[in-house]
Amino acid sequence: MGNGKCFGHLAGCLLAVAIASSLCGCGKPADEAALRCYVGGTMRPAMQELIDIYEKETGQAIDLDYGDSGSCLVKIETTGKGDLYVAHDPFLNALNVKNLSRQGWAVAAVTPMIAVPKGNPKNIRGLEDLAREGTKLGLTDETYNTLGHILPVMFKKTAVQAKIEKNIRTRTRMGGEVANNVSLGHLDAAIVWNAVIHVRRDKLDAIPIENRFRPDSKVDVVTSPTFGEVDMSNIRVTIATLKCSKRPKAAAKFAEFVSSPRGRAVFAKHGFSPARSGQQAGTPLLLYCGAGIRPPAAEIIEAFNAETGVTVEVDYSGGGVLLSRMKLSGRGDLYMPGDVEYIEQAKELGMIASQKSACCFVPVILVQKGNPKGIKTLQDLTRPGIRLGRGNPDACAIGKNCERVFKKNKIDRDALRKNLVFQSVTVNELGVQIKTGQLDATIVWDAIAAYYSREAEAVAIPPEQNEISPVGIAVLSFSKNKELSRRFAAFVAGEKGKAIFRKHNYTIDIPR
Amino acid sequence: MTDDSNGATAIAGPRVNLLSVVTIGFMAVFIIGVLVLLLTGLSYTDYQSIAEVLGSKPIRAAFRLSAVTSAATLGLVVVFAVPVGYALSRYRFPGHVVADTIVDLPIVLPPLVIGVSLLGFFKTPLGQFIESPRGLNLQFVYTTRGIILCQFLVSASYGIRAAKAAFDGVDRRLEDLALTLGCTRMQAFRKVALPLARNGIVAGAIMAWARAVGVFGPLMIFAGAVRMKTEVMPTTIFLELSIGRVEVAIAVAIAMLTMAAIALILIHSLAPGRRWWGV
Repeated sequence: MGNGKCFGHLAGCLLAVAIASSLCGCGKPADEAALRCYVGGTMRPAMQELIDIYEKETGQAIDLDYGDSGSCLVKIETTGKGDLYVAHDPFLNALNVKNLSRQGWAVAAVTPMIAVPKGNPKNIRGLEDLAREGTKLGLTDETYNTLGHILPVMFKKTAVQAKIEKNIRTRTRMGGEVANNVSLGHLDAAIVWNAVIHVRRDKLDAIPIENRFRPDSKVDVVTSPTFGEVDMSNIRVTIATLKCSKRPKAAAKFAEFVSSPRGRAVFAKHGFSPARSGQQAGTPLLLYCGAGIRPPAAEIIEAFNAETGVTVEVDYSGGGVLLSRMKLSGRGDLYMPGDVEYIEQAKELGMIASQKSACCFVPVILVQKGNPKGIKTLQDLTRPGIRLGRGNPDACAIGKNCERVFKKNKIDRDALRKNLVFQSVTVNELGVQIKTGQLDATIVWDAIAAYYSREAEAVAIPPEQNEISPVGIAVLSFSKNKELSRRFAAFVAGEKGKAIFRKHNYTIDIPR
Repeated sequence: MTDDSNGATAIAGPRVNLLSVVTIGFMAVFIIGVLVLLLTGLSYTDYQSIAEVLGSKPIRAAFRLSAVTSAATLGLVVVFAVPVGYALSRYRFPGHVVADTIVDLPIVLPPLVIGVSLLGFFKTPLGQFIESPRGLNLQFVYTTRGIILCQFLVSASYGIRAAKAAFDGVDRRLEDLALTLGCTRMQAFRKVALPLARNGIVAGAIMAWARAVGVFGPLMIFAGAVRMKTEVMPTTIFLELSIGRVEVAIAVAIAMLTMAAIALILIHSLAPGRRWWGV
């Protein structure tokens, strides 16, 4: 019975292993300190590289959990565990529709391409070549795969849709599967994302699909209850932080790293297309911005987007107009009016969470080129025969400020009123009036004056007579994205923002 | 007459006759089929890939994890299969047919469904109680323990089914006879029924273990596919295929098969009455 004993020992050993491993250490949750990042589709190699860099630089461990985007979504929904989700469209939308995401960033895009065996033995040069008789073509599934969904749109644009469809030999759930079939020699061609070909670049060549067959933005948009609106022409790769994350700050920090220029470079290296600038992922920030700050604000927003991938939508108008709009809607994230007084008013209404100073508005006298009327001081504005223009004090910041300057220097009101021929709602119109010769003088911000430096001339107001208006940027108390809003505010007030203001001739520090 | 591991007896005497030719012929076709498949797999891979697999840290970790979890699962399966198989075989109770059917259900259930259902279960209050530090504090979701649970659920039915069949094959009267000789029920089970059913149980355990090693679908969902943490060999194969490295995936499969072959030989040779290297 020696063998019998052996059997008994074996069973005993197994039992011991079973009990030991199910009760002891190996049930420990995979490292409490590690963030869990779900990665779908073809993004794993790029994300693995980014995670390795990030772990080395920050010591923050990140577990990459890979699966197809759909099953990752199921996992997030049912476990309520995890911190980040990397997928391509339309899965971020699905996450948003289910209200599972906190914040999203677009980091790259995927473009459909034709995968052919290395060396392109069948000489396929474009989409219509797939219609050639005898071409063994593999595609992804129409219902379960994003690209599969887009393909008919492209085929419809060719003259040979029926012939292409006749050549289809297989449809797979995931692009990688058809691509593998091409590399194994079972298929002559497959249409997959560029990044899918890139990981197999030693076995496959990528043939671009002609622009005329690609989906159009706006036109080829589908809307579904699960995914919301999807623009087929631009399938973005996105990273999102999850609502269920217990450490949203650490997760957001990593997401920002991934969406930074460095992160984007890694995606580019792995064969992804760049994320189209101006493309938003998740909820964009809404900024209420004074019209006078438009040129630098637009540039700062672009720079912020390039750095973080976050989109900022802007409502440009007069500061007062914006204030009432905010009051009514109770939504939005940031407020940057041309005059700090508007922020004070908003603060009294409890609408401001925090604020930072962005730049300064320095009033100057703007006169026609060469200063034909010889205007040197504020007093000169009251001289008879001067055609004077000014901003309306109720509508815009420059009007409010003008009022203060006149009051401070005790300028004769009646004389001013006699000269006044034009009142504007925004500061920009005043520059135009001087340029076209309708006015002899007006008061505008130094930056606006600089903008018209070819057609007009600025006369400085001595600092002791002047009223310099600091421009602040405030985070609104009802913002749902305070953390990100604060980051934008800090960006505006920081070195990069200042440099852009300076470039547009705005004054940063109050001149003494 | 030679005792085989399954308790079957080999026929002695002249070997070439119609029956033996037909049966051995079918066997040869099947074995050749399996071998051709293996060789085709081998032709897709190369020495370099196999070296890469053996040298890769995550893959070695996956290999280890597969070995440990499947061994643990095997232990658990044996622990469950013996009493459950015995109960189903020996006792008749209300709902016996239902119980007998339910035991088989996990075999039919697509493994993926098991993964999703497990996720769902751990979302319920009871599941939360098991996982929460204020409850039992036994984490299953995304852990090694979760891997074992998945493997167990997917493979246990095979073990139980085999154990039941084995006990069915043991003549009940032998146990009764033991009672008349002064054994207690427990002793009769241990000294008579269990040794006689052993071969069937071992065969079932092997089936269950083989199934456990190959489990992948529910793991993806329930335990995740995190490198170095919850990556077992089938996960590795999937991960490598997803980036088009067919040759590495095949190399991993070959490593897996080698491990399985070694384990099977070990189990076979430990089983009583088996002289597997000779006739």
